[in-house]
Amino acid sequence: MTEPIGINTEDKPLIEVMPYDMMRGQDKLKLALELAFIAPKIGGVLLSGDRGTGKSTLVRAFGAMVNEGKLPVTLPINATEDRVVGGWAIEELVRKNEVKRKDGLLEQANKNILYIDEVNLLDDRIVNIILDVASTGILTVQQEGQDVRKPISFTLVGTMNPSEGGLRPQLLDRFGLMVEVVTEQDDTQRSQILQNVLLYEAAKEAKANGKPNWATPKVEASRQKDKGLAKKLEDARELFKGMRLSKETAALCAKVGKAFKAEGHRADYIMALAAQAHATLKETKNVTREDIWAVAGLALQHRQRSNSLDWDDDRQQEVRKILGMQ
Amino acid sequence: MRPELQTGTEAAFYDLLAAAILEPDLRSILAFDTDESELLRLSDRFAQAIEIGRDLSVKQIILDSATTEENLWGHFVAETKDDNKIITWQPSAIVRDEPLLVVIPDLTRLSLAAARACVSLLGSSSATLQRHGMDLTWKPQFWCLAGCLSDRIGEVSPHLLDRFALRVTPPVSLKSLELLSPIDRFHRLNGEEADPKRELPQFASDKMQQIRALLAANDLPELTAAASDRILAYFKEETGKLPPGMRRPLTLAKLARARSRFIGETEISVKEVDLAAALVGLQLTQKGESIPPTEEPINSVQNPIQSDIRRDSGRDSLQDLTSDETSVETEREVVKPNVESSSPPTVTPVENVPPAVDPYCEDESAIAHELEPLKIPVAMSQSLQAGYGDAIGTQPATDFEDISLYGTIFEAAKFQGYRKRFCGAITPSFLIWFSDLRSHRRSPQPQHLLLCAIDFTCLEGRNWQKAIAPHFQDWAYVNRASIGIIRIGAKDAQHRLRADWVEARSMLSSEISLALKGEAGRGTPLAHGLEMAGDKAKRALQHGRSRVDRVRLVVLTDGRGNIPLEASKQGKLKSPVSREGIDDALAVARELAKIPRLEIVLLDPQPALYPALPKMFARDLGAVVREVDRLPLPAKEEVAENPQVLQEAVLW
Repeated sequence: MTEPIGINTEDKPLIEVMPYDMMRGQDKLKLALELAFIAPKIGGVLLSGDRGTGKSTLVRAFGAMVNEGKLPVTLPINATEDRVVGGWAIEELVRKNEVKRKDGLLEQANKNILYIDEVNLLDDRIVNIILDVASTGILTVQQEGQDVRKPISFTLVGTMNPSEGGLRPQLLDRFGLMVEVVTEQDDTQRSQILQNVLLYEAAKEAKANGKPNWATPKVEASRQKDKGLAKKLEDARELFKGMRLSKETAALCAKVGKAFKAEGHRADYIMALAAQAHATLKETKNVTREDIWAVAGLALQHRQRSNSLDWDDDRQQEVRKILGMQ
Repeated sequence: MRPELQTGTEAAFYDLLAAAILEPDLRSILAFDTDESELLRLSDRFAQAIEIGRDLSVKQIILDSATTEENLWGHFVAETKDDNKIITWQPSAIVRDEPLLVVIPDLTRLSLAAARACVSLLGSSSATLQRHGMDLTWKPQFWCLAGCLSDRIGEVSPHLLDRFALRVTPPVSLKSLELLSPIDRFHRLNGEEADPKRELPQFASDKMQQIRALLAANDLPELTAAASDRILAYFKEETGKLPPGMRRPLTLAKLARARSRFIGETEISVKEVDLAAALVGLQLTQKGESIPPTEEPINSVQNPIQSDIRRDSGRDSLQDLTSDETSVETEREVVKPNVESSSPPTVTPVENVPPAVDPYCEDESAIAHELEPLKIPVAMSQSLQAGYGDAIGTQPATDFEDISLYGTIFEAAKFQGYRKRFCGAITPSFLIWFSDLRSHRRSPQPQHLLLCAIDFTCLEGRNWQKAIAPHFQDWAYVNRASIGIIRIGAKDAQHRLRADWVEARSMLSSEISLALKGEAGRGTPLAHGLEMAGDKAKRALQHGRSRVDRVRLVVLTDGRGNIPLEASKQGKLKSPVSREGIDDALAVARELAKIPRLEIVLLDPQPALYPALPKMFARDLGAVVREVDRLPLPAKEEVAENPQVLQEAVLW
């Protein structure tokens, strides 16, 4: 009945998750993940919202889609410090008396996604370590005879349920974008979610039995679509690398950030990056006001001086006015 | 609806167990209103059902208030191999992913470490362990059975409750089953023969037998659009049950699917959705009116019906997924029910069905859990005395304060082979380096104590709750203080001549509100109550390993104690008393004033008789005085109807 347990990172089992294409609703959440993938400098996404809204499932599906089926590197709330920054490989040490360093999760997630489920429940000590590395881009370990200093960059993706407590502003600011995830209200979408989940499970059961069934072709079709989307995102990522921020886009982002009294300049910068990434999704380098408008809330929501995390339609309309859009 | 399929019946209970064994996402069950021994009886049946259904030998483990991170995830152990002592990592049963039934006798008392683990593991598609050099990823596949009193569900984090897919009110008949003895339980863990006393009823055993065939079948029933709409109807806003997220609708869908699998359906019908809802006690109502039941005939195990919804309708709803599919249609395998299987009891006496509990009663219950209940609490003080509660783990240390010998030695043990090779033969047999030092990580222990001595015989006509509330809200809650209530003159006191005592770790405990609900009795053992308050304060401030460094005593009394201290201690009132009770109380008050670090507040109810008495007590106690407001006089209309109301108000 059990699936194999991978001891080392290299031979971890491929735990299959639902295809990204089968996820219904949560369009803002999907957009944020895609933008952060296209422009890693955005720094990550925080998904905060109701329990049971599929936040974790969606992140895992996205991670698997862009990483050849492998789940993103996951930092659990029970993690100890040695596994976060790296430490001695205990198995080798006690069995063979060999001293060998084992990379921590931050190193494993280098140039990739570091996913923290229930990020607001993390031990403060671990949060501080992540903050240090995320802000300096350098992992420094000077303990237990280790002397490590190496550049690290990762896309931090965190999910949390705000009813269990918030995040310190310093950590909040490290997430480039934030999405407030709410329970899907549209009945059609809700119905589709139910049907897709059950359909996927039917196909999974068939796969476990080694024989396709009625659900298999549908899930396979979604897997193919995932491959197409992953390719599209890779292409957008390449396109983004060659982009230069125009003076006009920079000015508009600064104007929006100023109007919303965003703390610091990170909001303007992230907004500009996200707007560029948004343009590449349309396979163009031409950033429009529409692109800025589409991403402004994601960059500003958690950086408002009022400490409010609310972002409603009125604010979205206000951005439109500031940008001089009809 | 057939009565035997309603929640609380034996048939419904075993139907739910069967669904939990068949459907991977329904493996966590919350049982309402069972005590610990009842829950163990249920867990025995559950384990036996899993053994039959999955053909597995299931181990049971218990998570409770003492469960630590080490119990949950694993720890280092010393073992002998080839005559050499070596240390190895011993993963816990959860991490080994053995066939496991996790039993939580009381969810309200679950340790923080276990609660956090449950949130991470239950219902998750993958789990990760990153501790002490271990790097594991697996799909958690254990079953879980937890118990919780429905009227205390507000004490549990909603986030944790949300992880329990199925909710069940266990049938009365199961509660009376004989509990497995500890010896039987031990044998059972060693895979020996099941005790015949805990055999499942025949109909339940037959149902579990069916599961093996169903698991081997390749086809799961499809959810039709109509059934999907019906599921959502149970969670519409009009019913007041629009839940956060989609977990509850998904649970109902999977429960309906499990039922459909048992009767060999290829589609999940509206009827099965309704039956599944009845199993967990969900009702389909709109603005208080019952929606007429579906016109489909009732399905039964013996007579599977043909669904009236064509499978094509379900396929259309998924068109967006299949637009480019090559029409690979595979032949559907359907496991037909075993028509020979025995029936569940068809008549369930109404008196044997426990009252149905709203499966999601946490939505309606008052919040009684801490703010951020799943967060590791931070110590409220930087003093060395802070955080000296129970040991909940170890942490790297830079000095010898509160050193964990176990943690330090095992940390050092990992490096012994290498160090000996490195340092040469002249080294001692066991080398501990400074970096090995580990200290205990402890849960914070309350450093503040709020004592409330409440004289229940002086509360009438006074807004005393308003007067006392700031001490709870602005002092006890903010400081995470533990609370003690000394009840003086309560009608339901254990002894009419004595004060009694209720203690709680925090103000969120339900014991506090219960203690404050007392009515006035006939005697006022004020001296005894104050002496008790003094004892508690001294014990907290001066005795043992207590870390309390500040105590606030709030005394609410009009000072009219009429029970002498001696009478309270002996439990007998020897002769009529005059002011002996008051004099004793004043003498005790003067003693209380001498206790250092005890801050006293006297709440003066402004009595009509002897109005100076409370102030006299305040002076002897060295207390700050706060006046308690009188409640407004009754309205004219009320007095006109009942003149006695005015007389009582004047007496106040």
